[in-house]
Amino acid sequence: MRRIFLLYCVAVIFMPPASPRQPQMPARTRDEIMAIAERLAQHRWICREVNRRAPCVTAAVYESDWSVNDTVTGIAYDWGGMDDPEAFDRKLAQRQAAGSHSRHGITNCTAGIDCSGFVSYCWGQRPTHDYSTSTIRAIAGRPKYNWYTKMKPGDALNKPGDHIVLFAGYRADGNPIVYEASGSAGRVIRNDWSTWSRFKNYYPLLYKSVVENR
Amino acid sequence: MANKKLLEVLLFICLLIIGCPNKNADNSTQTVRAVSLSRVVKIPAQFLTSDLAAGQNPGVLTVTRKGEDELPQGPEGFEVLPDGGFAITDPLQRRLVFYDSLGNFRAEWPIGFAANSVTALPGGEMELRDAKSGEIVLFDAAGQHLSSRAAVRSRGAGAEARLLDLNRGVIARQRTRGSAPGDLQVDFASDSSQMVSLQNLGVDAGGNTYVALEAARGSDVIDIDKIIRKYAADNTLLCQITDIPLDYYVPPVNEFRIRAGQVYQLLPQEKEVIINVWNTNP
Repeated sequence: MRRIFLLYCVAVIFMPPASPRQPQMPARTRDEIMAIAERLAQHRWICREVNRRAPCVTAAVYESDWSVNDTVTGIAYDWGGMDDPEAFDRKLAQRQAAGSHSRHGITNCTAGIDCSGFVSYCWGQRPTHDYSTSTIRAIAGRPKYNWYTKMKPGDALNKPGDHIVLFAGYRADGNPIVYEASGSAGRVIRNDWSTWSRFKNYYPLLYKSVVENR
Repeated sequence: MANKKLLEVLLFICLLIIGCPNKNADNSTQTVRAVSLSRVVKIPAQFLTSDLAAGQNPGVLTVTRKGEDELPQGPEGFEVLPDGGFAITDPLQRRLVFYDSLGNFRAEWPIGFAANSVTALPGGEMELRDAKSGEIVLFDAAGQHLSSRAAVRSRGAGAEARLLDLNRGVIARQRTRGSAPGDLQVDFASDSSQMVSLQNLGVDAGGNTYVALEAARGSDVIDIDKIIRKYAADNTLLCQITDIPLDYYVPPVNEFRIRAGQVYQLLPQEKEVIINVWNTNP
């Protein structure tokens, strides 16, 4: 008995501690990241009457962003959601509501994707929505380059607690082109009318497993 | 003799110091007239609630509360009307709201969709962009729907302005009444910041061109100042505005409008929608 106890103590002392879960970071080329972003921004769907109701929302009155039979381009903005086009279409077919906002609270009867879910998904994170704008640094670093001239498609602009967008390129006038899951647009969009001042106090992020295009 | 030589050297150094430009100043704007904020129009806003529609004061605009990981929503587009009044989008109430030049409510159009941009056309028609569909929707001067069309993806957005490097840019101007044809070169020089964008805000009836440029300072986050410059038809820099606040609660889509030499900025805040006005006229 004493020997067993001693063995147990030795095992406890020399066993490596349980390490925290390491983030999964599949390698993605910049072209792959941008192709996914474009696919989510170009996904077309139709809002049916059943997709305008969210019975699970009790914190506030659920008012749909969409009208009956609207043909929409871009996956709906859904706070806390991270649905890809297939999951989104499947949920709509299951009579879930198209999209929600933070004022509706956490829901399990709405479909779509939010800003951090969108960037995470483009970076290969799936199927669960593990990162918010406050925690996405676990899979992305802070680049040292000149942000106004050297960002590359597939990098992100983040403001923890507020919003994150995926950088797509520079316009001729120097302003950024971004893809984003936008609450005000109610969907994933390519935004080519923003200016830098909209991103005041944001900072760029570089996905840790990004692969430079050949 | 030695003293005289020393005096000459000292004099030479003094002349050098006096003659050298201040490296921190934007060299291209040293003698340019600075225009300060002339007027502020405040229009009340309130948070969206479930019972807002019933009995709401029609002059009050609507915003949402800031959520974790979600930007607030609210008015993003505005237009300055020929009489100095304003049209402001109220996307959460799916309407366009009209005010006089002092911010007093005049009328509302129940347009039935969430607009994020509005432009007044010469005939009194209003062109709005549906934020949800991206469609461009046209209304006549009485608020009657005329047509809808899909917006063309603007891959050439910003094409009329080109940033050449962090000190220079070019505005490609079309020939208009009173304006000089050809390019307007925009120079920016500063040791503490770099020019990161420029936009052509428009040309007024006198041929003056209004240019918004953004200058970034070195920082661990994006740190931007916005400057608006007014150039004469002969490309002379006439004046500039540097006291432009950027603390938006809701980031605007239509941020600036120019009318009769006045620059207007839409600045949606949590409890009011502010329109800042700078008078650039001499």
